[in-house]
Amino acid sequence: MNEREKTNEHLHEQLSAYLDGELDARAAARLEQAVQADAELAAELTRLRATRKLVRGLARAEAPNGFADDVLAQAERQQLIRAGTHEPEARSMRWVRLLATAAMLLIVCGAGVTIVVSLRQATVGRHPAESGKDADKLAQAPDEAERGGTVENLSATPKPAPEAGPAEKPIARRHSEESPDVENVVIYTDDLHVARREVELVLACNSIQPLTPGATHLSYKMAYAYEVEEINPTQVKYRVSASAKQMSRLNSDLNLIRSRQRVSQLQPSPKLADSAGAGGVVAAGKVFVAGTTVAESPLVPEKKQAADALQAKKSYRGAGEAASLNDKPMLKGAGPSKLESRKRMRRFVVASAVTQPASRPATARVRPILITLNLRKYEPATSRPARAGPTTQTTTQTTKPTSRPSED
Amino acid sequence: MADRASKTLVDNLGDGGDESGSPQAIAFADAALIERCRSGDMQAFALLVAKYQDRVFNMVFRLCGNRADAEELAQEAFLKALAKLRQFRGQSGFYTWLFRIAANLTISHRRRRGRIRFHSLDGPEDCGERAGLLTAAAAGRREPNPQAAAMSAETAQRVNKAIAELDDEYRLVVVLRDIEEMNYAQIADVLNVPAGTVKSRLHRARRILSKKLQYLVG
Repeated sequence: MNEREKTNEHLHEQLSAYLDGELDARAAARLEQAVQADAELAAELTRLRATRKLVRGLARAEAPNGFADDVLAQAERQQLIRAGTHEPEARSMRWVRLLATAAMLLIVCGAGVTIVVSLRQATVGRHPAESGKDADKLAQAPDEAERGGTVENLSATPKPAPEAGPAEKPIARRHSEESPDVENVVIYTDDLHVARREVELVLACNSIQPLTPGATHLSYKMAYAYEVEEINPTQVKYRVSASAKQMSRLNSDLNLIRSRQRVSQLQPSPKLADSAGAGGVVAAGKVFVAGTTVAESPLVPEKKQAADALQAKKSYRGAGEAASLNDKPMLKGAGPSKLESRKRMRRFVVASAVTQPASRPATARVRPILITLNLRKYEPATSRPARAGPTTQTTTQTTKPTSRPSED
Repeated sequence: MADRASKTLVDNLGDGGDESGSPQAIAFADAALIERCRSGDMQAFALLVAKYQDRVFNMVFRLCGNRADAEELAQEAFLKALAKLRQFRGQSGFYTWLFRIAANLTISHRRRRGRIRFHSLDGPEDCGERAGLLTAAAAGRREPNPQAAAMSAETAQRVNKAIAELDDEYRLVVVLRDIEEMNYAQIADVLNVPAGTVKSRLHRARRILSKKLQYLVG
């Protein structure tokens, strides 16, 4: 479109405004000159004027009779309805909705803060002051199992460094099992590699993703995740943050892994090993001994632990009743066959998975779990007479530091 | 009630003397009535309805092409205006504000119902319009263009049909300008578009109409 065509089009567009008297005097005069000079423009103006005249010649339609009466009747009816339903406050309802939205946002933010704080407590570690306190406790009662593995008599297992005290503090700070909020799950296995794969598969199936080394702290806060730490060739720890719902499923799955292991899941007591030989176990802060010997764990000062253990033994009437014992461990009698014992153990561990540490706040949204995989040498039943006697099983252990077994 | 309201309206406007017909006087009267409406005076609302019912109805009827729908939509426009009267800040005229409500309602209605159907003036439901037209023409009451009464029914039907076939944006400006006789600024206010847009839309609408009514335009 050249310049002349543009000007012509512009003049055509001015025609309607000219007819309506919407052009200023200068533009109107310029258009009049153009119309006089251009016959096509003049014809267009004539057509537009005729069209305008036709439209303006249309008769006006009037509102039907009773129109205003109908409007007023409806208005009064609506006012009555509003008065009946307090609808005049509809404008304030908008503010109520806004306030409700703001409240929801506050709740969401509060939940986010709670999750972040819980995650920090569960994964990053406790406050230096608190962790230092725990480290001191740990220094007083060093848990060699945490740093040296659970099986000392494994020839392939390198012996851990015997030192304790200040050297333990960083580990103690990283390992938060001393925290009463941490769910401690210990799995003994004779194949650490397979057990790791199973645990990681279970975590993945429960939508708990590994925390990659490059992940930021923020990304860790945003989702349930876990991180792995290889303490030594015989011990691997998984620090997991899970929701309460995940926790329940996870406990069940982990107990299934435990039940599938060929090695005993009982944690031996070094004290008992000294006093009554192999077969002493520490479970839920209580000491249970193979055979008839019952002694107190050196890590549990309460005198009534042994009595509780005996009471638990008396009250045992089958694996099905174990769930009603709360944290009381089930004592395995010598009577049942191996298969039956296996079934009972599986039922027991699943049932006991629902038990939670009493110190955990019921409102905690993020649950810290510490899964410890310990390599244990598999020994056939014939070579381990102690396992034929009464033993106990447990899944949930105390957060107190426990001693490394010494099955010499 | 409408008659009573109209009579009261005439009485009220008559109080203004010679200035009762000026835009300032109308605006002043509107502002006073609106203020009374806001305080819950339904009589004031009745005056506003009586004052603008014909213009609103006419515009809606030209936009939707159906008398029954026009009556319903015009009533809804007044009720909506009453409900939103507290939001009216007087930045524009009450008349343009009311027209905006009516136009939006009509366009929404048209989009819901599809293309409009223009009913013939000979149809039974337009007998009222014809009667009103004849009455108005006979009384010379409010007919500014005498040729309107003289326009044949067939011509009027064709013109109405041509207008009804326009797109919404073009039909609106034609109705507001050539039937409601609003100026460009008022149309821009009603449609919430710039005045330049009104000018170009109106020009295109008239060109389309002139092509459709070529045998009438000559």
